[in-house]
Amino acid sequence: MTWLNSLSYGSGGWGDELLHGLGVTLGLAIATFPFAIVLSFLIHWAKVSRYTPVRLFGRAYTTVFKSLPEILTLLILYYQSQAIVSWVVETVAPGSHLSISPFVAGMMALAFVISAYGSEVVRAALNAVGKGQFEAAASLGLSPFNAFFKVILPQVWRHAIPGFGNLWVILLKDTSLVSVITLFELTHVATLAINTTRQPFLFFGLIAVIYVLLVTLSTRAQKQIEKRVSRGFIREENGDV
Amino acid sequence: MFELYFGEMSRWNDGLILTAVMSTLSVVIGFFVALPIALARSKSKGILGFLALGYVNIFRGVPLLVLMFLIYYGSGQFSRELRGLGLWWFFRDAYYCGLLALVLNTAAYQAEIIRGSLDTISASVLETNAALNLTPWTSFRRVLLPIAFAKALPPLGNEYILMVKATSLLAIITVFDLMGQARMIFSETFDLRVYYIAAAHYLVLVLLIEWALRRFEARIKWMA
Repeated sequence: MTWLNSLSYGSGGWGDELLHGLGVTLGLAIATFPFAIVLSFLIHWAKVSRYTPVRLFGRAYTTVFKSLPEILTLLILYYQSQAIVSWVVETVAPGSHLSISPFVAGMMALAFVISAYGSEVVRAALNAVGKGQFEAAASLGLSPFNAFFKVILPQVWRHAIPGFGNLWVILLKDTSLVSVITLFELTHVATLAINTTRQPFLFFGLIAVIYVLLVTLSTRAQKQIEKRVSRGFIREENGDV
Repeated sequence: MFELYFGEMSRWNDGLILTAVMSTLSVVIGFFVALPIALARSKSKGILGFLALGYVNIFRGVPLLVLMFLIYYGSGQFSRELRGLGLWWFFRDAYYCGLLALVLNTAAYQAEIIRGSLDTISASVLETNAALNLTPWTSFRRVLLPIAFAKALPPLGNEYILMVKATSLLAIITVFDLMGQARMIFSETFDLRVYYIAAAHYLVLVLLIEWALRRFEARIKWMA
């Protein structure tokens, strides 16, 4: 059982590093998701805006972020934002230095990519709620702001949960890409561990199992939430009204 | 910008071709791997269905990058055993390992897509096949499969586009696809515009595939 030693918790093994990596992976996904959801709504509104340039921007945004490989988006955002920040710092305060953390770059890239898909989830969910709710809210004298937050949004979640649940799983798995820009998350920790232990199958196998468990747990949780939010509703799709 | 493209034209073209070949190969091979899994998921309630579900859940749960690492680097831990089995030539090669990872991944997604469309074929089609005295195999091959394929085409097309993007991960295990060439040229020039040129390639490639798929879908829509 010598291979178990390399997983031990402490200075001799990689157990504590792996746990830390798992924390970063989860932290990145959890930090990114709310941004991605808000961006999804904004991009959806851009796509249905009455101003043509805004509409074009919304369409370009989805086309670009859905067409580019996530890893390329990540690299471009990482290097480009670094270049911009360095330039700004150099102009404002010559001599000083500021660098973009891989965590922030990863958050940006993942939020952009997920929201490109998320805007379509939002569209479908808003369609499912229906225009009538908005009109009814307006006829009761609610401001568009109140109509959205008090009438539409509470109803949107029920329809958006399957779509956003899928995106959460995609996000969780895509955090592994941020290892490429050396963020200390699960996949990167495994790569580091392999450099010293020479046990690639053990470590990659282990993190593969961890990812599968995370995804399975997420799907379970999603099913529970779905069940909870649709209590009191008849499931139309089965036809058993 | 232009010299970065035209000066390195042959490398960009090599990368583009490899990206197109790897993604197409993985989707096509993946489709044939997915068929029995989809059938097991759709028709079998027993052990086969359970195994198929296990396959789908595992390969949809592992990030593709980790799967590639596991196959390419992980196999190194067993190089002696693999040599003994005469399989080392396969696992030594990043191209084969990458392709295997892509196939295993896309087969899981395609299996779910095909299962979905198999399940929506109405019972009357099956009854018609029985009435015509078609054997189960003929019924599957000549009737169910074409209908299921036509129904599944839009999501399968989506999967194809996802695979075009996924091949970019091959670059991390030293394959020179579009992304691999971009990383190579970037490491020589440190010019960020290299990645924008790669992005333009992917954008055009994906838009072209989308356009072609829409035309193909329009042609076989009558069957779905």
